[in-house]
Amino acid sequence: MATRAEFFAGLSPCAIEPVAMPSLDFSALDAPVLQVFRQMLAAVGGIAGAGSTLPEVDQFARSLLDGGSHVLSLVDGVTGSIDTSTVHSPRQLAHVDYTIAPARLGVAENGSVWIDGRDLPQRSAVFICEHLLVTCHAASVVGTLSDAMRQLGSVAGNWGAFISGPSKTADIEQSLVIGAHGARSCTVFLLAD
Amino acid sequence: MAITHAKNAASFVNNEARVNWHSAALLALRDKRDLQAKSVDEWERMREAASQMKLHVLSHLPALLEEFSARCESNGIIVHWARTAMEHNAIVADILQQRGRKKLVKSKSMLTEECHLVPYLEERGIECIETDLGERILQLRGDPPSHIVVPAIHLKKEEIGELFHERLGTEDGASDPTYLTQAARESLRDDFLTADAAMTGVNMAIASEGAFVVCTNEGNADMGAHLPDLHIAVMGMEKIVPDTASAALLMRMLARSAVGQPSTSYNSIFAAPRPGTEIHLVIVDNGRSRRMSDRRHAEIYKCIRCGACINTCPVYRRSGGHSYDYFIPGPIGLAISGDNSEANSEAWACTLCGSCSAICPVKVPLYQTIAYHREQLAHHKHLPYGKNTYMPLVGMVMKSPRRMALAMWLARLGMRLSPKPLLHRLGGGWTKSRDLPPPPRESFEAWYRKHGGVSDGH
Repeated sequence: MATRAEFFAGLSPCAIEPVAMPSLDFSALDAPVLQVFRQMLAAVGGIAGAGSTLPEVDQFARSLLDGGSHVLSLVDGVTGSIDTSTVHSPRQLAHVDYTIAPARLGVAENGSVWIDGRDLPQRSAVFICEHLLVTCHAASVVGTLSDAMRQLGSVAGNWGAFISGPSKTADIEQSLVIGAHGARSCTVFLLAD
Repeated sequence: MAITHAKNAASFVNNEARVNWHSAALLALRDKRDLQAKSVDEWERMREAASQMKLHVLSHLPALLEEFSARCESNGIIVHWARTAMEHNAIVADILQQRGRKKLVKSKSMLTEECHLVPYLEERGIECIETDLGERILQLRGDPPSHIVVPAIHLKKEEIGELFHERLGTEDGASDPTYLTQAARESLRDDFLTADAAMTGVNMAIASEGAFVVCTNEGNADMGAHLPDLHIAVMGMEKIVPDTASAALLMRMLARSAVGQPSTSYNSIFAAPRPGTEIHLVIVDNGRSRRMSDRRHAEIYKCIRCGACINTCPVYRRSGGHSYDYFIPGPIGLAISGDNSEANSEAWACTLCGSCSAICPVKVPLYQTIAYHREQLAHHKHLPYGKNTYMPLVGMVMKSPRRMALAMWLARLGMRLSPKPLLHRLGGGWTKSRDLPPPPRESFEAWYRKHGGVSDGH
């Protein structure tokens, strides 16, 4: 096995003449971001949550609990059935029906939301659930992914994911099927405040 | 004797209905890509910027690799270096064996195909489960992938239904994609929950952050990586990008180019392990550096593996992914390996139509690189299909207008006088499933003069 020094010593010089970094400043979205976000969320198979305040999301969560679902709420002010302080292993979440997670950003051009690892008791929480519900402040929706990355700044020492709609596949004859391995649905509540 | 691309394609090509179905499925992806490209105002500017950015990366690779690996280490990601496929496999096996791991869930990685990792691990008693639906189907069938993004594109849902009936106990005769996907979800969920190690590829490695991005639609990479306490990620060294703005640019282009979606469902950015767990990252050369030392071969490593060139390629669409020697089919596969195929025929599995280069999101000079391989093979007299014998003659005839006119006159006469079976023998591959057209009465030049055409100087 190679050491780092051996690896670098084994590299032949690249024949491409040195090229400078180009400018990566791209234009802002040329349309109202919230309108585009809603369009794209629907286009990627996501659902726009009915409600724009935390009490409304909470009410929705309570209706899920009344129906007997296991609900993992990671949003302050929204009721769940699992005490997050007892979650020590990712496999513990295998039975979760609904995860309700806060997003720090929304991206209009692809209907995605940024879920930050620091907001989750386990990274698996937003993948292993049957259904994913996300709250996102309307004011934190940006136009493009380039805008979103600029806003996030450094990601060093962290983990996070842009999630664009539910889990899907088209590996069988190119037929789109929702619900491959991750959540079978992805609902985004845009919060007005 | 080594088998040419044309021979390899024969069994696929013989089923015309299937060829048409295959071609249409891929063209549909191309159409969706076009719609997405048109929906982004700056698409062409983004392509040019992405190309320049990747050229910057390739021309500064050692420095960026140093920066990247140092930052990974400060994020708690353990970095390994592999000069060859064998070193890569040995590193992965060592990590697993030292910790006594027996069951690895894997998301799709072209690098592991390149290195033949799965058979290597299985020989050592480590169970490997492919978790991308297409890859899982192929693993259960014992088939290689026929495409880098949609690996089971060559299969009909009825064939998958039959396979799942045998292997996963689905209903006999059932072929509904939703039903079959559901069955795979349930079976793989058990594997995710019982695996003691996970492996993913890397779509972009961000030097300034010591972070890597993994993109999937199914969520299988994340289902794998976040459950066991050991995650091994593997990457070719060309996956580096300088910073988050560069990663964002490629993320904006990858799924749009690949399958016509504005984004993959999951773009997961790893820049630290979870507390109490390990992330190992294996960085691989395996011939990349050698190819990059040839200027006319080097730009293939701008590639982001979207597969758009494969979807648009008229030869791939009608010959299928299994007709190629190299495990990556289509234009990008030929551009990488066209100088090194067994029968030297791969560089001719291309019409030089240029469609691939025209849509590549990072402007890899695909058909130009394939043409370069032809040039090199001709230079070394390694031409396929008998071209070593007849091409020098063709060249001699075509160099002289008089010899050309005489040869064409003989050809017209011969085609008129020869019986069909003889023509079929002379026609080679062309007359395998069709007749030659009737020969014209006269040359184009004669026809042109008769109709008052005037050429320069006459």
